Amino acid sequence: VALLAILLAGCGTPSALDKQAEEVGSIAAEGALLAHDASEGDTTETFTRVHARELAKNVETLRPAIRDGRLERVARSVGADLERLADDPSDERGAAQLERRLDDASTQAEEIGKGAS
Amino acid sequence: LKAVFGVALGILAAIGGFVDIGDIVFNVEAGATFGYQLLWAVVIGVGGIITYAEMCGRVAAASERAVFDAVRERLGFGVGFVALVAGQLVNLLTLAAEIGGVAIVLQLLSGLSYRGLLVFAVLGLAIVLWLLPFGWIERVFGYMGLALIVFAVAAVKLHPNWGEVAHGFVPSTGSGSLAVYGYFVVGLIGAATIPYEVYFYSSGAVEERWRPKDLGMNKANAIIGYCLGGFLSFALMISAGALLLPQGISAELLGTVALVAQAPLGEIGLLLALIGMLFAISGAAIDSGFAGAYNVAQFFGWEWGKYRKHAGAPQFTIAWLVMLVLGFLIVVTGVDPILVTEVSVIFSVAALPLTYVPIFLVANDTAYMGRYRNGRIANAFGGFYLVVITVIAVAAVPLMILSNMGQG
Repeated sequence: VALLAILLAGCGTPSALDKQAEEVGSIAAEGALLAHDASEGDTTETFTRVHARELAKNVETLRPAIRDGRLERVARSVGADLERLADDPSDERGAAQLERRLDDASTQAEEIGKGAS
Repeated sequence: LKAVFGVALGILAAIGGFVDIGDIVFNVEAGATFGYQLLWAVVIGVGGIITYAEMCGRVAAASERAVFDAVRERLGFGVGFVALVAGQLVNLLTLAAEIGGVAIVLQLLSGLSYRGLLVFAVLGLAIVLWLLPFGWIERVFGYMGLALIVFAVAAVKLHPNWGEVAHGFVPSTGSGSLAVYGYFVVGLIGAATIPYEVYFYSSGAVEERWRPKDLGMNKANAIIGYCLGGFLSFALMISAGALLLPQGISAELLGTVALVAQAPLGEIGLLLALIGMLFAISGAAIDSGFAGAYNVAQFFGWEWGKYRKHAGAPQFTIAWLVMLVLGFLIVVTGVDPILVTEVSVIFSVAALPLTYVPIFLVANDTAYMGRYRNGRIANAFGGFYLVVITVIAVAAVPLMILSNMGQG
């Protein structure tokens, strides 16, 4: 019954562009926050690595469903930046750069979402 | 002085033991989605658990019977069996979610593989359950869960708009999708009143041999402990509302919850949040696993109780071991523990009347309770909450489907 309800609830990847943009923007903004704390040395390397990898996995799960070329490019760059953060969480200067890139990506996703709705 | 100390210890354990993965997920998601608008729903939920925990603690002290003893006697075998099956399925889903949650938090602390940590988590829980006496289990996990107070400090440091926070305690229809709003209302009330808490509370009262002289302690534990436990829920929602909502971050991972404490407090905030989550979720895993064993043992009339030792209650011991193994088998399939959490809370809401109606009936039964039966205040609150849980039980699954599990 629970499984049926989950299927009925249609959980999983969203199909509407505005929802997809919202999700990509959310992941990018969270990645930026994580990168900010890494750049300030306000976290542990383990946490940054594990959480960045989980966020990257979420964006990679979403990507195949994205039909909009611009959003797909943003999602791809967010995934790559999060993987980079996970690969070298102790690089504070690199994390600061990633924070800016992820912030920009979040803004771009938000604009795509606004254009779609 | 000893009695006061005992009450204080019980209250501390109740505060730390109140929050589980369902409270963490729903409070942080609600804060990230609606800011402070749903604080009132936590108040309703905390009122419900206080009302019914006090009631079933009183039933245990007056009649020396726990919930499923009463369910079997009061509802008969057929209806009681339906209540048992529904309760056990929800307990099992909850336990699976908690085991998965423990492994995720351990992974955020250690960086080791999730699947390996699932095995470690379930073995660790089994060893704790096997070796530690009841009082120790209750208190160690309750006290360590108090590290979650870090979210209250984080909430203050994030400088929320306190006027908006105060406004959140007034029920409103909210902004945005009504179905999503309704889904979170149901989820927040359901997470606070999840049935395993009363199964565990009443069985614990029998384990600790409460008698009518302990009714004052029962009331203090239920009212003060759960109120302060609700304070942790407020802290989670307020800090998520202050940090995540303005940045458009939705909370889909347990790591996001830890980030809420890390952002304003740095590494120490992160570590306290992870330690608090680890013990709160582990404690809830123990409670829900035990609750499953208590229910089945009480229903079928087996010997039960941690105080009887393993040889004195072999079926009970096997029952909690089976619960742990089944919970492990669910999460080891790779299903997302956060998804399991949401489903378990929503389905527990659908099953709430099967737990709370019998407690209410027994607490009003003079043959069981004598002069300790419900008074006017307990009946007023109990009746009000029966209406609330009936409404949300009917609405829970449709809202989950209509709101796409809160995704809109």
